[in-house]
Amino acid sequence: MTQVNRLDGGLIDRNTPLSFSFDGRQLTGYAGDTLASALVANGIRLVGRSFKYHRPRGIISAGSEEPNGLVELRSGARREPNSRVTMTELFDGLDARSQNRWPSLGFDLMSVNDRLSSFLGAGFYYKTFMWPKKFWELVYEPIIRRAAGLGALSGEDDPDVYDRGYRHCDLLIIGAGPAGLMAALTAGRAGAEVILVDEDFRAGGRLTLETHDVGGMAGCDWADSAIAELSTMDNVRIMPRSTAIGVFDHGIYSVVERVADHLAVPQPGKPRQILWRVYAKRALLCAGATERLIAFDNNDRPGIMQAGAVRGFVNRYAAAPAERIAIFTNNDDGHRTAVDLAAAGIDVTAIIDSRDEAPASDVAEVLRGSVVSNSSGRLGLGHVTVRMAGGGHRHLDCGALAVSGGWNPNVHLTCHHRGRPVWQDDIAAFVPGDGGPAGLAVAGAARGIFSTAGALADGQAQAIAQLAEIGITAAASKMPEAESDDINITPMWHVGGTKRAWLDQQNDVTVKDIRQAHQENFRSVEHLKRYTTLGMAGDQGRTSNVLGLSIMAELTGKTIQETGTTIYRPPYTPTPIGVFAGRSTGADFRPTRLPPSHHWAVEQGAVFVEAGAWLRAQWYPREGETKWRQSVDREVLATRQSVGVCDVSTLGKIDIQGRGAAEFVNFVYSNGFATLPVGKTRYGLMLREDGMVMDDGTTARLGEDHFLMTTTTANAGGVYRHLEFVRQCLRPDLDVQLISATDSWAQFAVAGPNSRAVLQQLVDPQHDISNEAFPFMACGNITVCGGLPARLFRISFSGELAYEIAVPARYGDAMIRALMTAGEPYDITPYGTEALGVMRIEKGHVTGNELNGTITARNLGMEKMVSKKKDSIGAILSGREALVAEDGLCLVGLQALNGTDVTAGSHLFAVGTPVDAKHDQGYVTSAAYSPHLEASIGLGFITNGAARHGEIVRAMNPLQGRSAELKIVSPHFIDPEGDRLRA
Amino acid sequence: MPRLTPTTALGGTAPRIDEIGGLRITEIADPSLAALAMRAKKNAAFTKAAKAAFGANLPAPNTAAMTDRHAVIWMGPDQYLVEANSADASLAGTLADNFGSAASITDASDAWVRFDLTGSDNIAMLERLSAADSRSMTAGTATRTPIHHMACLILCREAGASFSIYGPRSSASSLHHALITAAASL
Repeated sequence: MTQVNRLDGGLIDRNTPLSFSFDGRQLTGYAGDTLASALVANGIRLVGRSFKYHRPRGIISAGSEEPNGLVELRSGARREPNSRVTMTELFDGLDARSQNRWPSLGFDLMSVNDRLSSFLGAGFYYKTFMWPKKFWELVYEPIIRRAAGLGALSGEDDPDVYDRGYRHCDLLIIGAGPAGLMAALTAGRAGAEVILVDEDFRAGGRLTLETHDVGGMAGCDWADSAIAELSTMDNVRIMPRSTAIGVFDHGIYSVVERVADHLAVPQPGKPRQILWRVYAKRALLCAGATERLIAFDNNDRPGIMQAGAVRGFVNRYAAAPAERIAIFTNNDDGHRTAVDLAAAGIDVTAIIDSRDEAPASDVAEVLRGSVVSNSSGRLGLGHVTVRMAGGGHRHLDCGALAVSGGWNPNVHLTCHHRGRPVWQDDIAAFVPGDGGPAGLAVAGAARGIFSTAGALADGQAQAIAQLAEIGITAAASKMPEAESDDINITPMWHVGGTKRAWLDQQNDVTVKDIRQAHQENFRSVEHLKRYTTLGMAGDQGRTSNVLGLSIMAELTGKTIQETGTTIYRPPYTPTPIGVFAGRSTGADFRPTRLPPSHHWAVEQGAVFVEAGAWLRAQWYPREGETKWRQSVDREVLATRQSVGVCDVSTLGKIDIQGRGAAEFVNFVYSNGFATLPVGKTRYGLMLREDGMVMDDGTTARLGEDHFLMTTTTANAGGVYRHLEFVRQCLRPDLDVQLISATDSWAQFAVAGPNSRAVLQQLVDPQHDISNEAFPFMACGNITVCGGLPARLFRISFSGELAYEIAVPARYGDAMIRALMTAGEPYDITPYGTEALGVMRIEKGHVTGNELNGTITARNLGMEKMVSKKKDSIGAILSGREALVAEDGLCLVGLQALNGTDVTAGSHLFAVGTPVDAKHDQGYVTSAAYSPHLEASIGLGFITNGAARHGEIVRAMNPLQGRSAELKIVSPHFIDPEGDRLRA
Repeated sequence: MPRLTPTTALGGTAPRIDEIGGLRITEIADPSLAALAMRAKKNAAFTKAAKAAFGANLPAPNTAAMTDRHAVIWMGPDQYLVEANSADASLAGTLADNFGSAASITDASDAWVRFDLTGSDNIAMLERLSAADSRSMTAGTATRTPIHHMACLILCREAGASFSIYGPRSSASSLHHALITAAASL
């Protein structure tokens, strides 16, 4: 069987046949087909099983509103469920499978649900699975999830990449139908920057699906000629296969471009889809309209379709939904379908027109004042039952029924800022109301102007008006001639019956469900939606909402306007999550920062750790070291015994200049800085306004009006922001300029008793760095290695005699190599952040672990660093009563007893007290194994800690099920007098 | 001359050049840059010194004053980034002399990595990277913009044809990765 329903003509390329498979059947189609049209051409009507009742379902539309034709596309990791067949461009080798059926589409065991429908109506879940409560998660939900639902994801990582992009324009035109094309021509000719997006791969909108002439040529040819003209304009960008999915603030629109969905596999390195953020000064929504169905018993049988889709398949794709087709309409548009079908040689069984005054037809018998009341046929339409005007019934043979219940303007994007559509009686549809997104106008069928001539004229008029608002004058041009027929609708929503009549085919909601919701007093549209799930499927009820509302309106005796609508939200059409992630996946989730010695550290085989965005060397394993502790212990001992080197470029460096720099630094630090001499460095404590410690670090005075502040790595950005706030908002009276210098300098800590000896080989001889000339806390501009400008600071985080040497970042790689060479005689040892952490814990230096935002200077034992002699940020509030209580938390050292470990995060309890929040006395902030003391040690805070040195406490860690006995000691495990660092 | 050999921001000894499709992405090995900020209440002296130093008026927000020797890029109120057109290690020192007490100057040569973009597809590439409207940029448009979460700067040297992208030096590898990935995805 090959393309039994293929007709002549159409906009397909018969020279390019394509083969594809559906549920394992090998089929063929042509370039220019969608999967939907190719299935239609191959005579396949049954494409899926419904969500809840597993009813056999077929394609009902030819566009993005399709509720039924959902398949799994592709295989392996690229498997994508719930793909709309109407939006899937056919490609060679396409592999599609139906969903939600077992064992097969034709014989689905779960269709037993359909027999149980009387139990499964609206509110079924709410009523049935109330108790016992714990059964919900364990029993009910897994069963329901398995039975209901659509396709399944592969569970593998998506092998494709997605991109993000940004575009700007004067006028964004959404939809390339007659209104959109005319608007684009008008704006393009006026020289405006135009972006024209269309979800189809071929521009023209309805013109591609109709046979009307425009401007004396076929509508689709006119569309092609418009695109050809627009393509010559540099100021117009045409984006096919692109859907505007949302409107956001300030003229920002999200557009998803399906770059490679029409290919089996994207080209290497190229994205599958791009999420464009379009900044538009003005936008014009030309999204057209969606045809709605009329509800009648068993109206979900495969073969029952929108009338516009039926003729669309015939006209554009040369694919006939059936050999014999009946038409059911309440307006003149249904008659167009009859004309087009007859022209294509299809037998039009009859036009069942619910209007008593229906026009006559040249091509088929018109059954006036009649309605379709039921359908029959196994797994597809065979007959329809017509309830005649006179009361009798007639059975008609037909393989398809084309239903036209009128057209709903696609108002969705106008509702994205909670704009409410308004009801327009003459077309029996909602049109965009006031209060839509600012800068978004609507043209053509999207605002209820359905004729081609009307849409063309409106597109031009709206474009001119929108451009005028932004100062661009566009000229009106002569309109191409086109049909201007009225559709003459007489609303008709549903045919009364005794069986189920379907509204929302994606979520299996029937007229009966609406009645039940009404009966049970779920009458507000928002309640109706949630109780019945009407309009809650992936299509947001594009083919069902208005039907449901009209039935609720009938039941409540209100108008449809009074009944109102629910809110449409982005995305307009279902959108893969991957496109929102864009390139931000895996290792590319965020950028990294590399310290200047990174490449050298890689050569050394360092193990790296993420510290914020920085990638820092954590330790440098040597041959034979199998456990990280071996490396870290070695690095610590080598540094304390001789000399070690560590890249500390990651610490924040802020260059502070200006006549008011000294006063400024004095104001942001709680301790005194005004009198710091040039050439000296001081440890500073920075408080938040609320008196808590914000950060600490050393600040060097490089000149009378020049300071260089160092922050912790983690707080570099936050401290800079804080300083800018102080500079701009709190002390604009001071002359202060700030600039970040973090990236400018490669800075290395050189620590250990032999650090001076190593540096003396590199520092140029005119600079004396002896203890006398360059004592502890000295700093200065020097040169190294034959004239390279550098900065030297005699500061120590490790507690050893230590320096930090800074060179311009571009020399960082050379500097670490030079340090290693100069240090060779002293067995210089590079150390990573672990050893750095061990040594600072041994020395009792605090870091981010301790400065956790709840800690005061007093908690740290540094209350004397909050100067009373001056004003500084946080000084006043640090004196709050509760913060100066005598029994407050106090920083202590903790040493494990009996071979146990100190664990950070443990809470501290006095021996013999219950382990509960009431008796909690503090907690452990940092822990390390000290190779120097050969013991597990830590830092922590405990109530009244300064007076408790020597006391044994219990550290409890219920999360990890651990407990330990710890001895409270001084936080300075090493060299408490500071002799080493002054050596 | 110091005995140490500098490396580029990407860690090489020579600047990296990538040619992808119609695009050429060139790492600039040794940009000479200085951060220039006006000191309080020194408007007249600052403006005068700028005119003398650059031979041009100071640029307005989102622009750069482009001269034969410098690009002076607006970075914030009374703050500029000065780029020397050819490698000039003495740039910050010279500016300090020129401006005296009217400005605070900081050598920023090592704060940034600079990539130059040329070729026919650079607008298409920039559209994948930055929300800035590169299509409407003219010579001398300068915009701070995030690129893949990095705080960057785009300087247009020739409309549609030539751009420089500045990013934090420590993120040079990530920025380079973002650029070549975007170039390859067009």
